[in-house]
Amino acid sequence: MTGTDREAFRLEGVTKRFGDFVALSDVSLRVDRGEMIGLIGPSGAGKTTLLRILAGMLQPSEGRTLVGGHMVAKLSRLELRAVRRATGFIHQSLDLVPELRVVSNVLAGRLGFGGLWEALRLLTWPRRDDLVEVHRCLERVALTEKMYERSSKLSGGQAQRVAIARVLFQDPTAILADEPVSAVDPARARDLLEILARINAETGKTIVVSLHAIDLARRHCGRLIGMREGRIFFDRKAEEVTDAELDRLYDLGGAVT
Amino acid sequence: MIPSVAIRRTWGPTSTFLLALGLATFLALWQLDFLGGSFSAPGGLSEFRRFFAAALRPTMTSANTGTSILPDLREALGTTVFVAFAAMGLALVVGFVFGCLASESLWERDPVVMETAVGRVAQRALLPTWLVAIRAVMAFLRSIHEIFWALLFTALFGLSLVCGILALAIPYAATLGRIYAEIIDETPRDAARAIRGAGGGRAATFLVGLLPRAAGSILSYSFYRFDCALRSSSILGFVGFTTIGLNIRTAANYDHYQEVWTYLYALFALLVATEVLSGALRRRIAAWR
Repeated sequence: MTGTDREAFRLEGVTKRFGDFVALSDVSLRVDRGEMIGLIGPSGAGKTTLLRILAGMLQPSEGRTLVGGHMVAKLSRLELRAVRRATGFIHQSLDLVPELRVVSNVLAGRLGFGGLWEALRLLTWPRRDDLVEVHRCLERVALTEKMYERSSKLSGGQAQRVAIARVLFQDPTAILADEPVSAVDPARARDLLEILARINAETGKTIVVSLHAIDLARRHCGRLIGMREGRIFFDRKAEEVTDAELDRLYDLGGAVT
Repeated sequence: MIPSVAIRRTWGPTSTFLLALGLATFLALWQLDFLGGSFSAPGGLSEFRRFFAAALRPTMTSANTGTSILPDLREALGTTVFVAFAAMGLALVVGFVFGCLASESLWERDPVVMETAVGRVAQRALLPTWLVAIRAVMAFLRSIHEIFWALLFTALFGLSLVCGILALAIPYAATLGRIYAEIIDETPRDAARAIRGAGGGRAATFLVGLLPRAAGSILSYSFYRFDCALRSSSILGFVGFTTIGLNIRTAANYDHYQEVWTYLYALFALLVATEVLSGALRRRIAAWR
C-alpha cells in the first residue's frame, strides 16, 4: 500500500505571510494516516500556523495544501466543510463556549454535519443517541460527572479534557492539537498525552500535536518535527533525534548551521 | 549614564475634546444663573408647597366622585405594564433581528473559501454598504422619540393601544438593535472559529459559538431597557393613552395633588418591583460566566 491512499496531509512549498511577517517559509512535509507526530520548536517558530493550514483554517500565501489527497484551495464551500469535519482541532485556548454546559460544548463537535436546525436542537433538546455518545466520549477523558456542569466552572485541566471529548465526538480521521498541555500542570499534561496516545493506538486516528514538553513528545510521538523561524529544522523518528539537535533547535542566541 | 528615554506627550485630541465638553457643561450651568429671573411663575411657590405637602397625604378617594380610586389605579397600572410588555416583546424580536443583521461577526468571511469575483465584491463593497445602511435605518428610527411616534400614530389611527405599543416598540427596537450588534461584535470569536474549523456552517456557528457568549449581556441590557419601557409607557398617558400617566395628568389638572401622589407612589412601587426582579435575573445570568 503506497501512494496517496495512505496520505493524511501533504504540504508542498508552503509559505505563509502575515503582512511583512513570514510565519512559514517553503515548508514541505507529508503525514501518513495513523501517525502520531510531535511538533516542537521555540515560540514563534510557526507551529500554530502550520497546524491551522493543515486544518484548512488558513490559506497559504504560496504553495499547496492537500488533505486526504484533496487540494484545499480548489474546494467548494461544502467540500471544505466536509474536509474540516474530518479534521479535529484542539486549540491552545481551548475555545469552549463557557456559558454553555459541558454536554453542549461536546455536541458542538458535530455542528459541521447539520445546519441551523441541528444547532437549535443542540441548544435545546439533544437526541438521546447523541447524549449516550457524548457520555462515552466523556468517559474516555474521565469526566462524565461534569457532563451537565457549566463549562465556565471547570478547571483548566478539565476544560482541556472537554476540548478533547468534543473532538472525539466529532470523530474525525485526524486530530491536530496546538499546545494542548501548555496551560496545565505536568501531571495533567502527562494524562492528556496518554489519552491522545491511546486514541491514536486504539482508533488509528492521525495525530499531530505541538508541544513545549520535549520529554512528553519523545515518549509518545513516533515522529518529531522540529521547527524554527518558519522552517523545518529536522523531521525524523523520535528515537533518532539527538539531544544536541534539540539544544540547537532551542538555542536562540547561536547561529543556525 | 542616563539611558535615552523617548519623551512623548500623553495629551491627545480625545483629552482636548473631553476638556471642551467639561467646559461647555460648566458654561451651561453658569448661564442658568442669568435665566434665574424667569424661573418662578406667579403664585408658583405656594403651588409648589401645596404639591409637596400632599406627598405626605396620598389619598385613595377621588375628590371628584367621592369613590375609591383603587379600580382606576389597578386598571391604569395594568395597562401600563401591558403596553410596556407588548412593546418590549415586539422590540426584542425586531431588535434581535436588527442586531444580528447589523453585526460584523455574522458576515465574517471564511479566510480559506476560494474568493470568487462575486464574493469579493460582496465582501469589499456590499457588506460595508449594508452595515452603514442598516445602522442608518436604526439611527433614524430611534432619533424620533416615542412621544413623537405616539403623536404621529394617534393623528393617523386614533388612541388605540396598538398605536401606543407601536410607538414604543419602534424606537426601542432600533436602540436594542444597535446595542445588540455592538455586544455581538465585542464577543470573543475564538469559540465560533473553533466550530467553523470543525466544519460548522455560518448560521449554526453564529448560533452556538457566538450568541451564547453574548446572551448574558444581551439579556441584562434588555432587562434594563424594560425599566425604561415602563416609564415610557407611563408617559404615553400624557398624550392620551390610558396608562397611568393619563391619571396623573388628569388629577394634576384638577389640582388633586393627593391623588397625583397616590399614582406616583404606585408607579414608584412598580419600578422598584421591576428592579428587584430584573436584578435577581441579572445576577443569575452573571453566574453563567
